[in-house]
Amino acid sequence: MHADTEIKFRDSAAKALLDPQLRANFRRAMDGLIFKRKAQFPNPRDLEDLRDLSTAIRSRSLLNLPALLEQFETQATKNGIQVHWAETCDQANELILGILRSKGAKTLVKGKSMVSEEMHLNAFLEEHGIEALESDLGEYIIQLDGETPSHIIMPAIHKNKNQIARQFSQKIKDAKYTEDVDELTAMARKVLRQKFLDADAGLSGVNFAVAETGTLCLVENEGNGRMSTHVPPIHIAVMGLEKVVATLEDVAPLYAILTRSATGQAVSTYFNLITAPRGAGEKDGPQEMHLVILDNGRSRIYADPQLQATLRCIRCGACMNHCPVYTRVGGHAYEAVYPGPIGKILTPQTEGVGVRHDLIHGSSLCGACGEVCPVKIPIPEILVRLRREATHEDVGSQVNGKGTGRTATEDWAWRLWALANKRPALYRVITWFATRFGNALPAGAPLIKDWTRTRTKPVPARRSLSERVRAKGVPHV
Amino acid sequence: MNAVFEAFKTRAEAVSAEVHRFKTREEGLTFILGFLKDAGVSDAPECGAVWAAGTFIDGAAKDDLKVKVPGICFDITQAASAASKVGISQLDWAISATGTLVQDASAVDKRLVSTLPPIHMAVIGTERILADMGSVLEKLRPEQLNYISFITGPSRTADIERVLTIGVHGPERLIIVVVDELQQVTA
Repeated sequence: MHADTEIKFRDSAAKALLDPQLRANFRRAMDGLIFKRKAQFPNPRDLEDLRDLSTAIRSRSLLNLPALLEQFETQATKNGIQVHWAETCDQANELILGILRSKGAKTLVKGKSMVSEEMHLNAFLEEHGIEALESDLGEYIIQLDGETPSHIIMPAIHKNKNQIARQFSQKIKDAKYTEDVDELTAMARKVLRQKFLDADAGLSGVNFAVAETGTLCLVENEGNGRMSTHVPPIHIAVMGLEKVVATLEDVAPLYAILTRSATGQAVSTYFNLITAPRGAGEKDGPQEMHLVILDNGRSRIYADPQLQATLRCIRCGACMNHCPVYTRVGGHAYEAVYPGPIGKILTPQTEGVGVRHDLIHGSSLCGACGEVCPVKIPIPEILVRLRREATHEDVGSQVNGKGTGRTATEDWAWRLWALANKRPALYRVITWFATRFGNALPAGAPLIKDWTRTRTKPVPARRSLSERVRAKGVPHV
Repeated sequence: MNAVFEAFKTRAEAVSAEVHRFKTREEGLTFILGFLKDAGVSDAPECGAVWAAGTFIDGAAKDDLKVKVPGICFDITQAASAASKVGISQLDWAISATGTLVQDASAVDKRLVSTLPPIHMAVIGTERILADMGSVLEKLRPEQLNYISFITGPSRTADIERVLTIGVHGPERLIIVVVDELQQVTA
């Protein structure tokens, strides 16, 4: 059965729970983010209005997605952006490698992009002899240790400054040991500034793509996004195909709710609207601009009217910040590019509901994620839907890996259940044994230990209901 | 206009920008030159100032300025910007609700001087301060502008333990010079 290959969220979560430092790092950071977001919305009515508007904009954009993508491509091409389409991550990686090789580029400096994480672009480029360097401070910190982001907005939030201080003193040339955050940041700035000036190409993500004008919108605080998009001679942007909206007017509310939900800022330090490469007569700026639009399973999600809501996501991370599970186990326990609640519905849909069955069930369905989501993605409802999809092959369902999460043990359990419930004599025998000896069963017995490890073992009644009714002499039983 | 300016100043200072207002262009220019001298701008290596084109500076006697403060450079390249202490550029709009500056940065030199040097001085006319982002977006035509920058305060990060740190990749100081008598053309 597939169960052997399943990635065990339960095991990695249990391991994470044993690390008090990790738990403290996440608890502190998430509490801070929750507080800052709340401070941005003093009036709950305003928050709800903005959520309604943002949800409407994202839903409408998805409704018209194929037409908007075509319009966007036409307009962007007219602006001088070279648009490429990739169905899979492999194709997207090959496309980027092709662009870099055609220009003889050896170094790529990167602004933050979760889609490039999805593609595992850095590892792919290194294999092909191209240096890919992260420039977002958090991404740079985790790249030094060969780690993946533990949060989509704050990739290095699992580390504290002492850990980063040790890491910098060991891995950055001529660096001294310091726990001063300003000094640590200055060290990274110095290394990365030179890399920016020397880089052959820059890469960025995309927060919104405007169909009407062919514009890419980029939200950031550090300035590395600006540098990635206009310091090196080539700019490559990558985005998931769901990012497009119709007009610039659509962007303002989405931007307003994105920064408030993500970091509790009214606006980010920088917001860049990028429409074209270097103009005629310019001495600097990118000579070429490329955009790679990635599908990677999104079309399949798009085809399902309920699951389509997954694609409304604007990647703010608020669902993680408010998730009682994420806050305790951290991002790495999910063993997925997108951790937390949004990852729990996105990853099983792209990788398969059977192989990522663990994630679908790694939720208490408390509903916090759905309550804070700026675009009202019904994450708990989608989790429940995916739980069914994982064990059933429903007619018309296009869910990736539907029915493959079924196990022989579970099937047998239900078969026995049905058998007992269809035969009164057998049922009576089983309840007789359960009422007399059920309590003698140790909590750690096979089959029930998965249930009892976090719950009190239920104590069966001393007599079954039918026995008691019969003892009372009720007729017709 | 005063109320709009005051709102802008309050919001901009809340995100660590420094805001100065002057009545005339001459006063603004005197302030900038004084600031450059105090900041130690000179023709020594790594001590220059790069000044991007704009209506504020275009009419000025640039050679005189270079005599007053050696190290000012009007011929902008990436290398010159990267080696400078101060970058000066003119902004097109501002947003009072958030303390944001908006720039048609189609000309690459405008992006370079506002990104690479550790100090960015931003010049803007008082009448260019609008209420909110929507009002600015209405005036912008991104299909005609290669690159539009919204800038709110100096470069920042909170990637290490959520501790706020100013000056990561972009400038560590943003000095906004608001001038009442400054004619600007629509971006």
